[in-house]
Amino acid sequence: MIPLNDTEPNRYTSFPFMTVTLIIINVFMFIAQDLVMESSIESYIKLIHVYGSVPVLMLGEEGGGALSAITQMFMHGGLLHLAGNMLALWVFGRRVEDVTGPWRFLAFYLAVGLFADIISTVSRFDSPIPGIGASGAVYGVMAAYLIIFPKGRIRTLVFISFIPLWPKLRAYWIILYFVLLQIPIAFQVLLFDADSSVAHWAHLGGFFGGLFIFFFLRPDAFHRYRNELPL
Amino acid sequence: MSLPDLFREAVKLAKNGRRVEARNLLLELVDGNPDHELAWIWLSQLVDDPEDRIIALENALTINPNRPETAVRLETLRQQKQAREFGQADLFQQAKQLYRDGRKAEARQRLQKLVSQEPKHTKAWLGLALLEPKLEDQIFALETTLLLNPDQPKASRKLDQLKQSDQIDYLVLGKKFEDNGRAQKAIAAYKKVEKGTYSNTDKAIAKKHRLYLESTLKEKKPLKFTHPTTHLIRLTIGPILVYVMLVFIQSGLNPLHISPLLLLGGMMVPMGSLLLVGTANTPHHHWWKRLLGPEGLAEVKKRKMMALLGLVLIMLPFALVLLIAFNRLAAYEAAFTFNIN
Repeated sequence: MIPLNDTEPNRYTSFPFMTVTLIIINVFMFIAQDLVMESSIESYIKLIHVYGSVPVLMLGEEGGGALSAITQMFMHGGLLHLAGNMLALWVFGRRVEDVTGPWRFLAFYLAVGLFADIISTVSRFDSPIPGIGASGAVYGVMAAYLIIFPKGRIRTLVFISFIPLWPKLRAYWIILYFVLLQIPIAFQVLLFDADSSVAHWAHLGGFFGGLFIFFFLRPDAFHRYRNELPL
Repeated sequence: MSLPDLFREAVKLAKNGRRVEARNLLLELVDGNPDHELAWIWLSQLVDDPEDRIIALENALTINPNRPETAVRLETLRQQKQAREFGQADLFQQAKQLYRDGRKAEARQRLQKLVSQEPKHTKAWLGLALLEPKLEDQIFALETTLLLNPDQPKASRKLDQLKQSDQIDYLVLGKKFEDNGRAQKAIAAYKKVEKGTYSNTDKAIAKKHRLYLESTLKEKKPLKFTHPTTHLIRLTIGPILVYVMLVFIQSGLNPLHISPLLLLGGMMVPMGSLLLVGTANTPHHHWWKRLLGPEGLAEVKKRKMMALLGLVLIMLPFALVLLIAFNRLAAYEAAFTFNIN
């Protein structure tokens, strides 16, 4: 299941300035990472350790701390990782930005990203492995979308026996599908130390951080939400 | 709920900032017990209309004339009322003089200001009906005049005359009524758009608005309004949240390790955030009126200055925490290079 596009129109703004800016920054950061990797693998490992979020370093008050917590949000481990996150940000971020405004959207994005990083660090507190990726923040944006537009119609690519179909699905089906996927693996990682290269707790942390959206909604959007009016 | 319980509950609600609920409880209380002095005193602080405040205090003073605080507050409110009326009378006189001098645009501005301060000023609305250049605004002003005082045959005749015109944009008029909470009038205007010779887009817009208004009238669900203070607090928390998380991460998720400098920043961010949010979102909030006078935030320059100050107050602590983080990162990076080699 791959969400492709949000089919609903915006109410307040026509261009998702901050969503596009965030996507551009992430892409540029990925290109920079790629250039560093091509220069030498040691430099790349150093880059990931210094600018990624390493739980033992964060808890031991070493490394970049707050700065790394921000930079890790803009780094990705591969093209698929980047493409998946940016597609989700594009699909769900536009209308969330519409109801917050660009600058509050940026603050919300950073807040959920940081919250996801905190949850991820606590869940693997003794790990020296750096964590990178915008997934936590993107899951936060998805949660915000679910809260505000649960019935939004998302054009989604699904495969049924290798036959591609692209129906419009309700947002709650897609978002809950992605969240429910995380829960069993996250608990396996936490309780049974299962190996996983994906930060499932960062995803769940980001998702629950999506509740912060209420602090970032525009006054008029908040009024409409409270009165159950179409947003 | 017993009488003392009801009163206690109302006070508790008022102290928690739930003014409307507290006011409703107290109104219920004084309805059954008009001799409850303290209920009247609390009510005087919870009603919005200055006139109602005065009545509540007068009632409290009648019940107990031996409470000097009530008398002092009542006197202050009466003086404020007098000053306000004087200001309004002055504005009206200015508008009249400007009109006589042929400076109609300025006269209109004075009257617009006056009705924004005192929406029940019938004469000001009547004056606006004469001075507004747009037909829709003239109709709106006359409708408001007649709503406030239906016994105005001249206004009524003038309104009928204006309504004969085929130049009225009923979509604009409908929106004006809708924005001012007059749903029935708005629905009537939208219906005229739907039946008239308007573009399909305008008709679709009018239909959408009409259906929405009809559904709200049908459900009779009162709109829940968020108090400006709640808005201020809600929006102020955003930057604080981000700052707290950054500081928390920088201190190794240990609140006891937060440096005093960053704690100081923690005080600057809420102040800056409050300024920025206040100037950007609630220029009519009573805190800002108290801070800058009733006209303070109408001045764009002053508002921009305050917003800028707020932004600086927010950005400084953020810059500080990131600078501290950068220094630590640089030290770690140097050590990391050493490890690799």
